[in-house]
Amino acid sequence: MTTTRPLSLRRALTAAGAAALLMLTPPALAQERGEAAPAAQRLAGKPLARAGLTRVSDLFWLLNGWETTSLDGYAPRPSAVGMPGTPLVMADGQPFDVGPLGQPTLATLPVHLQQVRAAEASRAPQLVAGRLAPDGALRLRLRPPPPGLAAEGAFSLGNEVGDPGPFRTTEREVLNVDRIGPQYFAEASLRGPQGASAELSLQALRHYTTDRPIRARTENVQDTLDGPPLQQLIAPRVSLRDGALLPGTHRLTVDYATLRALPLFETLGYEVPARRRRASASVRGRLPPDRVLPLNYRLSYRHATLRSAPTRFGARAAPFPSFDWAEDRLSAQLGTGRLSLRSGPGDVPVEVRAGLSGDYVHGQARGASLDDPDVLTARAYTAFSVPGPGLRPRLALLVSQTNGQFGGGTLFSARYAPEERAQVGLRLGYVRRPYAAEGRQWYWLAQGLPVPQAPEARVTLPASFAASERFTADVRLSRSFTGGLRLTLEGGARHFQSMTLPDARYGFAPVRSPVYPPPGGRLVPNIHLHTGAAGQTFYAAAEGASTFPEGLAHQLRYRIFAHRAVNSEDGNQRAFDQRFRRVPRHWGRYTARLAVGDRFSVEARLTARSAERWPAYRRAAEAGGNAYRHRLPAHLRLDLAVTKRLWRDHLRARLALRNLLDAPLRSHPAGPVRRLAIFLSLEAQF
Amino acid sequence: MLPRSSLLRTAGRLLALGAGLTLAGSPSPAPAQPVPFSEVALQAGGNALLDAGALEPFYHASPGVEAAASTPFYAGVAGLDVGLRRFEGRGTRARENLWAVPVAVHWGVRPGPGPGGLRLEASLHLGTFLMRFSKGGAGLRNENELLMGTEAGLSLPLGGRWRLALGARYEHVFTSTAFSLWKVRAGVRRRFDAPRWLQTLLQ
Repeated sequence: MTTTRPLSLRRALTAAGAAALLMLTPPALAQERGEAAPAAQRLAGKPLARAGLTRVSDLFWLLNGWETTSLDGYAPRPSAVGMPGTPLVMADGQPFDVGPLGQPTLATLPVHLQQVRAAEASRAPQLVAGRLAPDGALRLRLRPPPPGLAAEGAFSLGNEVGDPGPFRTTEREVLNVDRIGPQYFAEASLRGPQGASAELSLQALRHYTTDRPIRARTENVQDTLDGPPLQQLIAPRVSLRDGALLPGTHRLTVDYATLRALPLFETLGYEVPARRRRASASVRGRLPPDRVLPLNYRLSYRHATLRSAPTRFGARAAPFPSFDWAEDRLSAQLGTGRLSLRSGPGDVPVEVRAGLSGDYVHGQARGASLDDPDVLTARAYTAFSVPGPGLRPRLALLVSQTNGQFGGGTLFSARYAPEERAQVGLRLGYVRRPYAAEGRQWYWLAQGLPVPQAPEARVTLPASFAASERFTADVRLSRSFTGGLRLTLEGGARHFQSMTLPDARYGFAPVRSPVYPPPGGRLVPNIHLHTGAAGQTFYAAAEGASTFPEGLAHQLRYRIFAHRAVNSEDGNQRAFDQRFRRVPRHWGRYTARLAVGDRFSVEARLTARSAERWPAYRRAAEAGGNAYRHRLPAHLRLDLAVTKRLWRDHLRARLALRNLLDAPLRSHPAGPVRRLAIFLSLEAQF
Repeated sequence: MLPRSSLLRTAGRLLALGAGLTLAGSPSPAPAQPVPFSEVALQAGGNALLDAGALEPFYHASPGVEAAASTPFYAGVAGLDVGLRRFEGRGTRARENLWAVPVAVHWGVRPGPGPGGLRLEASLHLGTFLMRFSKGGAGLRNENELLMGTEAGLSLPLGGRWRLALGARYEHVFTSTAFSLWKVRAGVRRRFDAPRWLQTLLQ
């Protein structure tokens, strides 16, 4: 909730002056009022519960306009279509940054899907939490605890087809395909009459390593039938809210995650058992709103580590890559609440937010001295919006400095409703971002981070990293018709320049005697990082939605994508082309939802997509047989989810079938092949 | 003369066609459709395996026993099936034996009654094929795999709340070498009024 209060012009000028000193706060998502802006989507309530998802990361499969790749099948790296990087993930107002030292975020997110009340995704740059999210953002709004003492729990387990089953002692014996999960979640909460509350939650999950290409790459670290776990996560979280003891409202959140995993290092070409730990504490809130200038604040500290753990898995091969990284991050934000400025009676008010934010990151690695282990970013931002009945423009500005390099951006959006049933939306953005602010592994590698690297690998880094620039434009037109039909047309273009992107070529080194055929092998990297990649991406989408007959909702969406690399002779063009050739040119989805009252629902999604091309893996695919692919073929995927609420809403049972057509699906050339899988989920609340 | 596998494939198609026609042709929800979850029908019986598909060269299959519970759903009936069958390895071709426990939820229709109280029945099944192996070979005693199936049959009144159910079922198990099971089955079913606590739980 944000406070809105009218001010006289004089007080407004005083407030504006103070705001100029304090600098400015983030604008709200356009969807905060339930209306989707261009390149944005909001999912909440029943559609979220009926979709048959089991993890927060599954949201990127459900949301329109996102692509996810995964090297292990469980830890996805999402990106908005047409954007080169990963989005900023926020939960309950708290940003979850990459780390340590460039490791992806989602695998250690200490939030369970059952805690999520709404998910808001933006595929265009966005000002959020006092910073610019240049590749878009996913904001998770969590459910507030119910009054009194409450408890919740969830369990889910999946099984992918293809086990040897009764053939395991016959000549048809093959490698077992183990279960997916289990995943557990439990939460207890207590909420007092004046808004104070305490929540304690815990989630745990385990996935196994039975995919053949991964097994082949990790032969030297397997000492059990299942091999080391692909993921084993334990993540407790405590959240305390106070609305009574102290003036204003305040929230303290402490969370921790420990993850045993098999991350694949691009510089090494195969997976290494490792343990990630992440501990963070944040306090945020709103200072008393009865002042002229209501203030929001946020202060957080995070310590994250990544350590190799070969002995835990009984590694047989030596020498084994060894590493021990740590990263500390301190973040702060101070901004105004939404101020409504009026110059006189009858005038349309202008809402203003402003603030300051900053991040300090310190990286370290055992046995190495980093050239510059600190990254300091300071920002100032402001946003204006005019919440009028017709045209509703918003403007956001941000300036930043990261280790002496200038950054910033300007975002403009406007929505216009020419009539009650129609709406036009426009969104424009310009972002300049220093590379150090992205926190990528390549930056830390250039600072001397001892990343595991194969002896025969070739990795070429630039002498310095340029700040990237991007211009984005998105437009959306939507209209409702009699009978409940709603049509939406959407389109967008992005122009990038001075992008730092890898131009990679992976060779293949076979594993001599794998336990189970077919033989696989590891990748031999040859990576050249370029800092001048430039080009454009374009997309257009059309969507129709209606409900007929009552209780049966239909949605059909089609998207086309294209990209164009700016001509260059030094590999920049290749790097840009490699990044975006993997995005399918055509994508379409039909969704049908049947709801019988509130208690039973069936949802089916049929998704079709054209082929993906990964030129970096051409050599590995040609030499490695079925282990790798440089072209992931077009496919058709059918998902089905049946949800039943039981026992006066205390229980919810869900049965989900993914990839019902049993097409062999891959989301990465070196990732596992996914087939038909069944998931059972049970959720309870008291 | 047609080989046995061809006959079974033909029978399977007829079974699927019969189940499909019954499911599609069933008025839903029929005026006589009981209130959802107001009743529970328990069924017990046995089945014989006509064909075990790709399992045939490796295992001898025993007759099976099964139990099921079903209740009126928003349309048709829904329920849970559990079965039990022993597979004995054929000498050196399969080096262990196993107990198979198919567990599946089902949804179907039982239109009618027709002449003599006869009801046609058809259903779709989704579940897991649990396997308990006699040896701990390969490190695991238990395994399970996705199972999908369809069934068509009929039921006849036996008096009171009792009925005799007869049918044929096709089950497909998605192991690395997928196999299909063809069964004929017979059992008795008794209908009960659902207790209040069960209605509260299911609603």
